[in-house]
Amino acid sequence: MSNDELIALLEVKDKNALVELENKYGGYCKSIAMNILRSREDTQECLNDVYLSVWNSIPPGKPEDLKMYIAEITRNTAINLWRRKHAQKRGSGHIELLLEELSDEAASESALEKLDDTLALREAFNSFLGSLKPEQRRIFLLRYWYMHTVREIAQKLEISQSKVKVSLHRTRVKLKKLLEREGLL
Amino acid sequence: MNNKILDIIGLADEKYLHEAQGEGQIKQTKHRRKISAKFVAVAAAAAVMTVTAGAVAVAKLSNKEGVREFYDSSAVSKMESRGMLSGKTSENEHFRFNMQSVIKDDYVCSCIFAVEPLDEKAQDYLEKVMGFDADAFYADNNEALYMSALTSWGWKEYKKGDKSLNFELDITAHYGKRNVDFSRPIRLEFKQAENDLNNKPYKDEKLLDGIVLDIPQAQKLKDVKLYSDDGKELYLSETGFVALVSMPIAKSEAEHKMLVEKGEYDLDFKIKFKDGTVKTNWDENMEAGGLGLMLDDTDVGFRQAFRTMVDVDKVESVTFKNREFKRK
Repeated sequence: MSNDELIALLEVKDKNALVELENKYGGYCKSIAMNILRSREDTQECLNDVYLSVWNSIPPGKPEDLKMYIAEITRNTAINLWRRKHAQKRGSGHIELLLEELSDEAASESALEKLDDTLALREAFNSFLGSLKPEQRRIFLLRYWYMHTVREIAQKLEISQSKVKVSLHRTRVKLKKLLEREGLL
Repeated sequence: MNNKILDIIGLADEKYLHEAQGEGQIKQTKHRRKISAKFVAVAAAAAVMTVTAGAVAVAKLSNKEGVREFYDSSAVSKMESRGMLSGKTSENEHFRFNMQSVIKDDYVCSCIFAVEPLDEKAQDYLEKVMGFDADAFYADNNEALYMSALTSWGWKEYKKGDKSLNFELDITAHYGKRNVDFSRPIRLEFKQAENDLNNKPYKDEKLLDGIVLDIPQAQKLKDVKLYSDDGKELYLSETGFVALVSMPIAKSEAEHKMLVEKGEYDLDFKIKFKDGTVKTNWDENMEAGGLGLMLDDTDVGFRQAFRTMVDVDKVESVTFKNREFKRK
């Protein structure tokens, strides 16, 4: 089923849309959520919320790129779920590790509190991404957007783990410069 | 622990997310230029330093390996014939820094260094830290250059036994309202970076003590200013261009979408020559990295570097960000 057909089903609130959505993007969403939550139980909970969000948001929404629209909802939902769970039990899981990487180089809590213009930040952040070399950008987003491990990224891109680490380090340094320029550090 | 940074990263454009997943065309260049492990940071303006006596000497250039890593062979030949290859060195018992080339235009003064480790300690440092800190200041009065004036571009990973580690150091002439005067002598004093690649403190053994280099005055690259129909300017030199085109900030989702569709955030470029030939960023040796550039305290432009030298006299126009910039 094409994305247009799927959206058409959602627009008329046909429940088959949810079945088709799961058939088409269930595996993709699951991999995104699983990368973040690392728990089958939490992932399933997350996916239920994702399907509900898509159901509630289309219409009025009519995404041009349905796959990425769902991917973003999945990531946000998974992070929110992780935050909820994280508030209940503090641990030293892989998200904590990832945040530790970023907080070392990228931004401070107090600075980020200043953010009140998401659009300006979106523009600045994407300009930053645009300034990266494609491979560097892929590594950065695979790690911090899709939340793959360093090992998974190395396997996916057929490069060494140390190359992935070096690239991430360099990109974080650049990100720090961007945040400095934006007055966020 | 701060986790709002995850929300910022969540703002990534869909086209980049597709790219990250390996979908669509992903550009691969044979000779990739990388950002160095440690960007070279300039000391704060208040921390003006007295220069220690370094062993600065002019040496016969032994190789051009460093320059070849950043430019194609035709560019290296042109640089050599025009006296842009330097060969100036500074060394102590651990390191020899060879400043292999200096080129400059109105916006950037770019130096390529080949760093040779002279002992085991230096090799260990290069392998584990792979970067340097530096202070930059005017040699005539020790006035420090502003933060962010320096950007370094890196090299291949260093492995013990490698002969040298090469990197390019760019000094940006304009950052907001702060300027660097390239006509004045600029001095670089290198220092150990504090942390290694894992961001753990590296033992301070003063390995870079005395590594000081004055950047020689270099012949300015040929350049031309090109203009779009709406009055914007693009500065083209032989090794890159600076588009004085601000990256607009959308005030609403609808405006943002419109700007994306208009190609405002598209950084591809095309150079049209007078003989009708065309080069784009997809052609070999044309694209060597780009950076956002602060034109004043609020406006951002863009600097694009080439891996080759372009004959600007033969250029008819440059198309960038949906505008064709032409000669007046």
